[in-house]
Amino acid sequence: VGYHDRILTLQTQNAGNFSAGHPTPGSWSTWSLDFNPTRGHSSLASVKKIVHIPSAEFLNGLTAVPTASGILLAADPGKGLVYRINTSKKSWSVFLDDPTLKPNLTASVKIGVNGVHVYRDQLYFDNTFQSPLLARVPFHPESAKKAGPVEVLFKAASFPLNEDNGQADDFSFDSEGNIWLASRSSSVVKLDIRKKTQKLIAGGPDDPTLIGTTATAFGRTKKDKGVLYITTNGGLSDPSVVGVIGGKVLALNTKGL
Amino acid sequence: VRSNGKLVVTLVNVPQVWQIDPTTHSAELVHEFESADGVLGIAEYDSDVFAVVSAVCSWDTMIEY
Repeated sequence: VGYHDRILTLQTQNAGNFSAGHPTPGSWSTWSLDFNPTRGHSSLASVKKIVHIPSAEFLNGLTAVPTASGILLAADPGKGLVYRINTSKKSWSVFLDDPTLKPNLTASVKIGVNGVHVYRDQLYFDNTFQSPLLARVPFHPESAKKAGPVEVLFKAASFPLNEDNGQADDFSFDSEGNIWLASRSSSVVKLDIRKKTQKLIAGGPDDPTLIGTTATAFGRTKKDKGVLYITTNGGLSDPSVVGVIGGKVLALNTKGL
Repeated sequence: VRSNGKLVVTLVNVPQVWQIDPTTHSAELVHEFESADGVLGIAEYDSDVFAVVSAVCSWDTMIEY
């Protein structure tokens, strides 16, 4: 386990004990936050609605398609779908409807596909509560439309799980193509797609530091290259370990891991 | 993560987006959404332009544990 350092704790509302939100179907919208400076605006970012998706039950992971300008792919864990959003036309359609995206109807929370990320003309995605842990599907780089069948990369998790909280939330790629997964069981796991290995890097179901891991992202500057930033919900999804303590952002130096 | 090294995070049970400077351990509010309860999913789809999703989500009514 590498060194990790708490950067900041954001105070989340402690509203008692709960393991999942109850999203209102039809209430989901996508928004743009533009950090480019604009004249006459002193706010950090200008915020505009992209599009409302009335049929979405729940929206969670989002990823951009770098080869298709202005296209986003968005996970709907409730319906078990991935939407394709055109940010300039403000339109959307279903990109993928597949059994690998569906929620486990016997799980404590009925959510399926969670994290979605594009890497080399394929969409990689995980499933929160049932097989597969990780799969991918190819798409046409310019149209960002599906171009082949879903390929399962990891059927099941081999790291310790808290069954009420599931296996997978969001993830990110490192420069060598490995996946750094924020598991739903308060841990960070490195998935090597070529060797088909799963390596527990930090945390576990009862880890108070990493309780409620939700996402990972690598630093982009010279100084924090190789530093993995990890977000948590502070126990919102599992108050049984330390209660709800506020979400955190942590930094992990992945050198040698 | 922005190209300038700052982190942009969404709060799942509060309709806010925050920017974090990992070098100074400080945070500032980027935006608070009206008529929403939480913000999820973030992706940079143009240079320094990020997308997020917002929703009405009753985080405070469900008691399971």
